[in-house]
Amino acid sequence: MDLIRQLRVALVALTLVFNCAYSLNSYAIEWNPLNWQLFAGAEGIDIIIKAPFAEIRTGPGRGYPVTHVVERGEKLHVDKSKTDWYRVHTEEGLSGWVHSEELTGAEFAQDSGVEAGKSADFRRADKSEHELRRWELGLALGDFSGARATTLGLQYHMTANLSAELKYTQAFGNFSNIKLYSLNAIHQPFPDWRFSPFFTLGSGLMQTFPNSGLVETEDREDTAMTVGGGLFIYASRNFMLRTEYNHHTVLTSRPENDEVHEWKAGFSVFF
Amino acid sequence: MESWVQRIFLSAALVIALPGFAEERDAGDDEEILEGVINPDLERRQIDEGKIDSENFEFGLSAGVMSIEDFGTHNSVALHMAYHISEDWFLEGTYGASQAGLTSYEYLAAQDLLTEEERDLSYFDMSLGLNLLPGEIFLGEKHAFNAAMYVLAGVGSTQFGGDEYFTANYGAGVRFFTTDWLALRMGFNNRIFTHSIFGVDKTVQNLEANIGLSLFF
Repeated sequence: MDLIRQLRVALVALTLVFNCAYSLNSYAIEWNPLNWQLFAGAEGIDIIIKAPFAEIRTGPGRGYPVTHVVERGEKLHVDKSKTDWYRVHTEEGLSGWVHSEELTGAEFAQDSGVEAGKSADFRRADKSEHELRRWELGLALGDFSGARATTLGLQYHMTANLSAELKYTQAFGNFSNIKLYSLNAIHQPFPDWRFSPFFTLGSGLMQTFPNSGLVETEDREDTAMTVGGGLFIYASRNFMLRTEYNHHTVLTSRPENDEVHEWKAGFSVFF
Repeated sequence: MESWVQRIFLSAALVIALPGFAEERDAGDDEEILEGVINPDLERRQIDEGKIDSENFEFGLSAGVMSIEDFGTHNSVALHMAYHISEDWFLEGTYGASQAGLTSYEYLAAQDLLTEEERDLSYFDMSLGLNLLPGEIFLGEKHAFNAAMYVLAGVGSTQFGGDEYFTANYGAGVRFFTTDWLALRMGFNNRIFTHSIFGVDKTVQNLEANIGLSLFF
């Protein structure tokens, strides 16, 4: 029994390693580590407005008042962004927030460190970027063998086709609650499709907690093996929908393994 | 003698190779021109993201009171972590804790339903939020703050009375921005779950009101 269990774990591990190596070789795309700054002020860039005019607001939102307007040809210093808004400073020392659409076509200014006159692209995230996404944070709700379940997942895309996902699933049953911590490999054969199918293979730890009001049974901890598949649907911006089915084989200490079917749907954001 | 032979071969090779080089260079030029014609400006994002500080994440701390149905109202604290997807939408994870008191039955019968440890309540949930009614709020004659209301709803779990329960939550609140990166937040939430501490299933509504600070980074 133990030998079979070890063999299965080894088989899954090998498959993951091979899939990973194969995928890295064939689809490697440029690697760009996550680039963010905590609290540190960024140096910013200097640009020249090319739109007829740009409205500067007091805050990053359409509801905040416009305090002044800059015209085409004026120079702005951009140092911060929040969703689709950029914080700018004018040469007169005024500052505020401009929407990315009004910065469309803006060019880099002289001595901005970048080739002057080159157009700076303040596009918002779109589908072309979803193929290059790195981190994805998702939330899903579904049915876990008859129990209501929620899942929180963090996914890291190693290549366009292959990603690793760390998932935490909590299921609330009539007689017991389940917590499942798992690490999954996800393969998307057609990452550029709007409706992109995927296959997943993973392994994790499943904890079972019988409800305290019921019969006195002990908490259990078992290994779970997962195969599954589903569909990623690109919605808009950096927003994705996702639906999936997972089949978990729980390697229990009893003579028989448990089979768990899990269906769920949810959404995720990438950044 | 040998050097003569070499010289002959070398010059022969040079004569043969030169036009070849020339041709290759021509081909190279053609390719460059062609490339310019065929490929329009297919350039990647020109902005070095590192030079612009993006502040789409929010970290918040808040404190307030939580009313646990049947168990009284007590102090509560909460941690918030949010990612702002767009100007309107955000995703927020919240972890909070409070403590339950005694039910009326426990007071009257002087009998405990739960142990001290089981009275600790903690919850974790993930919600999708929507910013509403953004605008300025005036404080006196001289000060104006940017502010926005929000509504949110989500799911999560609550640990209470020795068990964990599936919990749905919804709420509303308001953020006052004192600077671009610091906001004062006030929120009201309802967390709904079903427990069977009294022997039968009971769906309870637990209201929470809190006030706190948020940092954007």
